[in-house]
Amino acid sequence: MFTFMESITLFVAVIIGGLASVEGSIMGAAFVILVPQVFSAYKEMVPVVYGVTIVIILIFEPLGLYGRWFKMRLYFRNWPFR
Amino acid sequence: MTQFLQYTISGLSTGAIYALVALGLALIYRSTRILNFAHGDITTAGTFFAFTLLGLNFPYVPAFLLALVFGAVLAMAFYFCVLIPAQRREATQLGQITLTLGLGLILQGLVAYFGGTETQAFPFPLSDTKIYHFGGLVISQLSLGTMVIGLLACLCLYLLVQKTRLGLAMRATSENLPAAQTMGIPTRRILALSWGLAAFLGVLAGLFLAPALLLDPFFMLEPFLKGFAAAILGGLNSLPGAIVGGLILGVAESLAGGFISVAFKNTLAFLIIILVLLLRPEGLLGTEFKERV
Repeated sequence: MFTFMESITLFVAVIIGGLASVEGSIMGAAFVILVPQVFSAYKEMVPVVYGVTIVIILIFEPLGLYGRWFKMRLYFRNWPFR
Repeated sequence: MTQFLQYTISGLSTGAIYALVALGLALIYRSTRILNFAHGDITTAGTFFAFTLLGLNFPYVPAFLLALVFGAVLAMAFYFCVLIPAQRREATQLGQITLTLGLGLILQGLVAYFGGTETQAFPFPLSDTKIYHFGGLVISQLSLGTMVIGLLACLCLYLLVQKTRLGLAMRATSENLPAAQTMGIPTRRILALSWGLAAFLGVLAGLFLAPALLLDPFFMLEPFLKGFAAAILGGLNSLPGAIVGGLILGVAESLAGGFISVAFKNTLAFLIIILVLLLRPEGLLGTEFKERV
């Protein structure tokens, strides 16, 4: 059941959620489950979506989804006074 | 004895494929310290490109040459368009390795989308069933061709790396990047060329493997993992090591499959790898871990 592809999918989840953050892996897992559902009409395109997301995240947002959320929270915490 | 030689010969022909894949991986690793997880998928993309061209009634030689160039251009484009921007933003080593995994996923999806997931037979000028006899030994035209091409590719790579100015620049870049830059070597172009060369070797292996297996978007996954293991067995930063590792892996696999059982084919090969790495963690011909003290 756990093929090589499966372990790659889990790895993708960790990368997209954000390396070294527990909350991130939950978000990443949600992403990895959501994408095949949304793209169920184009099954072959699912790895492409994963790959493009990895490339974009690693270049522009190395901390992943968790890092983005963290920054947004920090911004709104002291929102009017910055 | 004849049987032993027979298995050895068929192992050498598989080993030549592994050696080509391993050479590509070692070439990239030793110059950029990146493990290229997209190697198998670049190879698949190149092979599918050749398959499409053959479907459009191209003759064999131009189709294969175009496929080799296509693979090389793909790898170079990845280096220039993705890796260099990532390095500008100070991506970590792990980040760059993960980028190659991303490229692999993208290519895998695109190949599955445009090429179709069903298995197809790959037309090839050398036949799998035509057989030559040497004494008591039997060898098919395809395996003979694979061996010859593998040896030729290794020889050409040796001449390129050891005897030309370009090879000198490549060796300098892989040994010490800042020093090479100060000496006026265009390191970025040299590294892009290493990527292209690695993809070229990979597609070459894919073209000779496709007629033996059947063509589908995942046909390179197992040879890629084997080539990876072969590169580690020989020492990841050594080019001769990659060749030796590939040949050893191929022969060990074939002998185990022939004399013990087909089920032990992979087991014995990887047992050998584990034993070698226990005794020499840097691989058979590698020097990596000694320098680091």
